[in-house]
Amino acid sequence: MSDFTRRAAIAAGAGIAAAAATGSAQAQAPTQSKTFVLIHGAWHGGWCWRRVSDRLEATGHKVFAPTLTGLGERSHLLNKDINLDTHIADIVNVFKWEDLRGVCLVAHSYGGWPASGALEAIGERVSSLVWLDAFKPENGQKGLDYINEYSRNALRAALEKGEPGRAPPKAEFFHVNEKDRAWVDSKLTAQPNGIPPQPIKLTGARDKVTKKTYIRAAKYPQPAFDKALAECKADPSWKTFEIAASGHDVMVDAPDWLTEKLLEAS
Amino acid sequence: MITADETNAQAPKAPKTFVLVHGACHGGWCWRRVADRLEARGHKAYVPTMTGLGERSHLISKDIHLATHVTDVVNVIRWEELSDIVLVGHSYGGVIISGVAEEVPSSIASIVFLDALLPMFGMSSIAGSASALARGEIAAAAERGEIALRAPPAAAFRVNEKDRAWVDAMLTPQPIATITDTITLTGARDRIARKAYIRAVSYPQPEFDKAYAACKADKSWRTFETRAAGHDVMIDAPDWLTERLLELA
Repeated sequence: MSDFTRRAAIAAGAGIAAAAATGSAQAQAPTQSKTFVLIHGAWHGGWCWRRVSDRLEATGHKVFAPTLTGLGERSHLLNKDINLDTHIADIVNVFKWEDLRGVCLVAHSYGGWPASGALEAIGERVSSLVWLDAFKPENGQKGLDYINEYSRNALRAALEKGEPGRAPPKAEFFHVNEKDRAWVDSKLTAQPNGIPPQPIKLTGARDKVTKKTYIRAAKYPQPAFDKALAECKADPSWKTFEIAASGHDVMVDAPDWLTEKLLEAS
Repeated sequence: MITADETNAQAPKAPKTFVLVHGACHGGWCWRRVADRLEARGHKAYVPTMTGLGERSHLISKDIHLATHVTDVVNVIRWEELSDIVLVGHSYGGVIISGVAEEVPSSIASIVFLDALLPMFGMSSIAGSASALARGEIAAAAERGEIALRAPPAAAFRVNEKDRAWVDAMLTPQPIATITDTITLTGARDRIARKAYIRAVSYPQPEFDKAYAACKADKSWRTFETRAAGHDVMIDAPDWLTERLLELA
């Protein structure tokens, strides 16, 4: 997959919006219906949102929970060429092909990276965003700047073996509730190695979104999230929430609470 | 003919899980109207886009094979732990769902071929069953080193005029190896209890006519036809198709 091909595909996608607007298949949606796009974190996949998606859909909302390339049900596509641009395109193209507008964009954990990048292309289609225990990168930063000890070691081991992805930690590492740990362990897949070295290009599209919410699962130690929470608390354009009753995978541990918060934040 | 299912259409049935597999050059986007209608009635609809197409077109590469597309669907079933599903394949998607049935037969309660290719036992490829003209085009494209076949215009699928510009904007090239690859079938599809073939008879396609006739002649298949839609039945006749899918669920 060359950069040229990827750029061409993105450029082709960019031309679609105008034509799509007229004849598109709009939902026969209830008046208050909203569209949510849920972006999972490292090693996870669209599967992790199931409980929250079900709850949102049961109340008439539309949910898109794309799995990023190389992960979860897309893990058969894992290869060394997958980088941050791939995951950004994964998100941007869902907006273009499904002609999404007025979206609440939710990013969990690593998802804050590709979601921040995607907003540069589809910022005007997003009316609210929720950063859920997520990275809030600034222009020029890269995953390697933030990588935790587990991930650094796993990355080194994978690169030594010439593998395109690094193995997931145990669900316990994310403080997942005990009952769900075996299930989460059975779903987690390798995270592509091509992502952390690539710096992100941002011009401030994320911060231009009017409604912004940061949610911190305080029990899960991650200094980058503490810093992001503190920044958002100090910025009146962000609302903040903290939850003590959940590990890092809030969508797995506290789906009812999170669904309420997403509806409130959207 | 009014069936019991139709008269009860508004009564909530037990929620069903639908996996809707698009055809060549299409993507999950084409199912939006039908997925919305199914979800509005409390059912779940999964509309994965095959690798290299639609919103996954940034992944186009020469390494995308028919097996990639089969796995695209199988993995959704595995990661989402879907069971008792209604598996629907449109057009080229008929080859994919036949492959999916080989891998996860126990997850499938009902299988529906919508104006679709119905590959038979043993080895077959789409290129092998294409017209001489299409075969020539595929061979020429492969010779030029192209990795994908250009999408035909929506008009070629007889999409209703109002939706043609939209469909044209959404269609993407089809990875060439998915057309030339062979698929090996051992009959898993035919062992599924509930099987149906739906033919959009106003779209001329001899392979579909042949498949439709074979299903009509086989008591283990239910068959339907529509004249009110082109090949993209999910776009042209979403209400009619939703009713049929619920009836077959």
